[in-house]
Amino acid sequence: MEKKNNWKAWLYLAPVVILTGVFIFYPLINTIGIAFLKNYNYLTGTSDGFTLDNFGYVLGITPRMYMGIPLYYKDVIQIAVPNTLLIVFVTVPLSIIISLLIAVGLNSIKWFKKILQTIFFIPYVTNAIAVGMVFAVIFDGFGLWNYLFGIAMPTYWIDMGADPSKAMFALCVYIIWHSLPYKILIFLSGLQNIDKQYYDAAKIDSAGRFKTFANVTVPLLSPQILYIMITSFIGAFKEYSSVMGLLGRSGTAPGNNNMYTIVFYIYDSIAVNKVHQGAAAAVLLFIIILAFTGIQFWVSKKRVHY
Amino acid sequence: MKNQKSRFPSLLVVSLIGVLALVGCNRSGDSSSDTTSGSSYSEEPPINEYEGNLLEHEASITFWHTMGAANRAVLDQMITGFNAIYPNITITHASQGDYDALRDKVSAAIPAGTTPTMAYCYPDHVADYMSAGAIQNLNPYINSTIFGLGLEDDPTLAGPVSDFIPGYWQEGREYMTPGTYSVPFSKSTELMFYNKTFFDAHSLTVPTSWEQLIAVARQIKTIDPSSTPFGYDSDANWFITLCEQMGIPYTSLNADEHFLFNNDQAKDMVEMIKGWYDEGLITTQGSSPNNAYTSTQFTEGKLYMTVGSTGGTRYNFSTNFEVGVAAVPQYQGSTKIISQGPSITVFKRATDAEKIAAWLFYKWISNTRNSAVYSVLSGYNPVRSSSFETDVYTTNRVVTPGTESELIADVAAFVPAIEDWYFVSPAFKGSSTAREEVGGILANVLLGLKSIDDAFYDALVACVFSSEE
Amino acid sequence: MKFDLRKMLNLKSSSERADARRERPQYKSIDTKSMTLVLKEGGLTAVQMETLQKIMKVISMVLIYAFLAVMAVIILLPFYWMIITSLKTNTEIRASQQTFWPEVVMWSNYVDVFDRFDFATYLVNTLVVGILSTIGTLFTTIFAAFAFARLQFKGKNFLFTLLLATMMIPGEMMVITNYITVANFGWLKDQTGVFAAMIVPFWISVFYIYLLRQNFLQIPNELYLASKVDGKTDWNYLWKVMVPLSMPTLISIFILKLMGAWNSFVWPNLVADKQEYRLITNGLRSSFSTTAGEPEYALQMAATVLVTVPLLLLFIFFRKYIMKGVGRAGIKG
Repeated sequence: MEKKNNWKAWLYLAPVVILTGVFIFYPLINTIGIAFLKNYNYLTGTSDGFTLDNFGYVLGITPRMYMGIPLYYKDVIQIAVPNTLLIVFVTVPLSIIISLLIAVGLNSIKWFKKILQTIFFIPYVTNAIAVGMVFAVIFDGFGLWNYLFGIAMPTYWIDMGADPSKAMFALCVYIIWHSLPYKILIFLSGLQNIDKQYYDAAKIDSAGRFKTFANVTVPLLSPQILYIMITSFIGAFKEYSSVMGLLGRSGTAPGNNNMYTIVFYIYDSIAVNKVHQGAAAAVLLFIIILAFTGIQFWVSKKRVHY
Repeated sequence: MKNQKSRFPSLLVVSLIGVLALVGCNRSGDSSSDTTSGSSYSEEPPINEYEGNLLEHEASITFWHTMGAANRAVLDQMITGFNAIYPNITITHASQGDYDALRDKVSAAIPAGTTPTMAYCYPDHVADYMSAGAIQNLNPYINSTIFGLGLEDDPTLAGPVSDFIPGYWQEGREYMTPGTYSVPFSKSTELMFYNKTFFDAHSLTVPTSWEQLIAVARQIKTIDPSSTPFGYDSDANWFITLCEQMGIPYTSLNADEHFLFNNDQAKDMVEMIKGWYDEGLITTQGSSPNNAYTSTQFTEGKLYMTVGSTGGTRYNFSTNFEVGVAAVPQYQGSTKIISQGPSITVFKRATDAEKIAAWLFYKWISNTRNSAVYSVLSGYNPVRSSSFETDVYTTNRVVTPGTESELIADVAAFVPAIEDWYFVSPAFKGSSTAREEVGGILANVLLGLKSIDDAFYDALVACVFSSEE
Repeated sequence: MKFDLRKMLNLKSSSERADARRERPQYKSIDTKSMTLVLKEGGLTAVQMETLQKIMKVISMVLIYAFLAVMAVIILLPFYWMIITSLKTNTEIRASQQTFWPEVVMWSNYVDVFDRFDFATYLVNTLVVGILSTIGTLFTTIFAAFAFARLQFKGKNFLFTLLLATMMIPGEMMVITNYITVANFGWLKDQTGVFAAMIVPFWISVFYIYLLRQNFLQIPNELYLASKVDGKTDWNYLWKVMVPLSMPTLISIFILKLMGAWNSFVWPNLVADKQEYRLITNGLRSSFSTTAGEPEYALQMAATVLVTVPLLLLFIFFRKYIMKGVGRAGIKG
């Protein structure tokens, strides 16, 4: 019934179209292009033509010959990818479970509800770099963590020489802490939208709390859970500033990138002028995220209740 | 410094008027489009006729550096002095954070065409910038008969090239293309600081070679088993200095084989250090698990000897014991110590007037007196031999016994003795990576995070993959 | 695989969902048989049963409060630790016996921080950049959301999908190209230019367009048709009806965007090449990076407190808008 008013719509959209064109799509296309260039130098904008090697290098399958020795680049495939996957598969499920429990808890109480709700939201309004610095103090060899858990001081979590798995543990603690508030809030507003009659029904059936949780709450929250899963998985795949905030560097020793994430590698590649390899990694990351998100939609299609 | 104003009436400068055949590179509208095969740096830049005089030309120049607040204040004083001579030149300067941040900023500014006029630099950074065609060869300025170095009646009082410490001056010429692409300013070297009180009490001899050092370290270990006798602050410097002293290939200017460090001798050397580390005799900053500089550990009494930068002399001062100063231990009679600290480079993109202004400013801040002043106030070394003889450097130095100024004075007194020992490693695109990576080898091996072979392989991979194919 | 992101994210409007709920039969997986089972096995009278249920309820409430209290402590602990660390001496921070209250309260740490950390300049810069980029964003967002929610035009779905897809892209790879772009615009030469470089690229937020569009979609169609009958233009309708009705969302966007500016790090670090142009987070990271020796935790934490407190104040004053704005995203799917 409404007629198409093309020109008017585009007029309204002009600022957004221009800005996205200049600051998102053009750089994006530029990046994809760079991934296929040999020896791209962003200082000069020059390159030595088309190549597929950047992808091979990043994946550690194409060697570079140097003075007769084949050299394979392993930091992405052996460090950045496993680290990123670890962050994704540890922090996302754990933070979803914890925040869901907190949200359900908050939803079932009367006293102190507002104040607790506010407290649980506070980490959201903090700066990743600043709070990362706080966690660095907490995980210091002489820090609060060791003290609270009675671990002999100094035990190093993130300092030079720390075992990468320990540093990864500290990182995951920090990421989960920092990602709780958003999830709690989303789940809580989802819970508040659930019709009381479902709970009343469950009460009549005298279903236990756990049963109610598993059979009523979770299915009815499934749109929020799907939304949170997708956004957190994407967020976890792009983890960078948490590492920067907590460690301020890419590993637990100089010249060691054992705390690389994929995006950290991409960032580093700009600093050392191997943007073409970083671009290839960015393209691969994009494909991974896309595939992953697609799979989640596909799997959840029948499980999500609207 | 202010009284120098009267010594250089503008008349003197006006006398410079005339046919000022000022040299400099054409401001090629877009220097980033210069393609960069190394050969585009010719020794003979286009010479422009520069009309008018230096005082009539307004020039605004920008200087990027990494100075902290204290050193910025010294620089501001120098600018005041400079503006008394050249009121037509406006100098803006800004700290860009640390050296890496500065390099990143400049690297981003080059394609964007927003480079400053001049900047602090390390040779490896300059090599990077040069690959983008961004750096001005300073030879024409140095050799200019109008405003070169060592001219009579020079209002900036800049002495001849021969007055510069040779090692420092040479650093700006160690690039793949002939020319002078950086000039020394705030230089430092490494020295060994030792706990003199402890050494005297146990009548220990200050070691001059690594052999002696280890012998002394073992003695110390028997006296104080809980200590680590020796620390070297910079892992990379230890690796590079030992290579230089022992004649082990590290890097070369040959484009096909820049990275030579992956060899058996170097691996043996690292194994040797690892042995000392496992014995509890030595440590480095990179392998100190709590991230501590060895100078800090030294002042806390956990170490009895530490090698650190003269630029950081004050961090080796302690009120608990007397600190002695000695040269870095040598290998079988070698005389090699690393030269470090930032130099200054000038960017091609600036206009002729700006580049000349930058050059004049450099001459001013690096003259005998100013170099001495900066040295005394900052702790860096003077870049000119003549600075050592100035009253600023010697008699007028304010030394309060029992404070860090005393240690700084000790270092100042010691430094002239090792003036000829400085070496620099070749600078090329990727040499900064090599430096970082060899430091990483040492740290990772000592910490036991990587095996020696893996550490060397990873370092080489990192170097090769960040260089061009 | 059919991959229509727009449809996937824009799941269903809440009214549709409410309909779906109403239509859905009573939840099946709990059947009444279990109730009788409990009664038989317990062998309790109805009164006993009621008492038991009451006790169970009290116990479970106690457990819930205990759990929430523990979690709240975990959430708050880092803030507490930040504040007390900022008031300790460095020796106390690194002592093997950690203290939960500083032995000597070092207010002087804050004085030292103000010496090295030009808080006032950073604050003004951050507010200028934050407010201008936020206002610009509000305009572009309102226009775009209106077009997507209200107007019919060719390529609408395609464009919207395309915009949503950009949210999946790691932003880091755009940095270099964007830097060169703003430099080519001549924006990196003076303060105005540098501020423009920190503002203009951020006049767009796909997420907020999405958020506001959802809000606009909720406004009943009848209002639009009525305004048409009254002879109002689209422009009029947008400003007189849609914007006032969406005020809570717009206020949320304003505050969230302002917080974003406060927290932005990478880009301002790149374009602001002078100390006096920098924003607050950059100041935080760079002010304590060049000092030698062990990290000066006390000063770091004092600066961190200074950066965090304004955000917390903003949050306390606008708690409702912030939480509603953020919460809304999830409800809409």
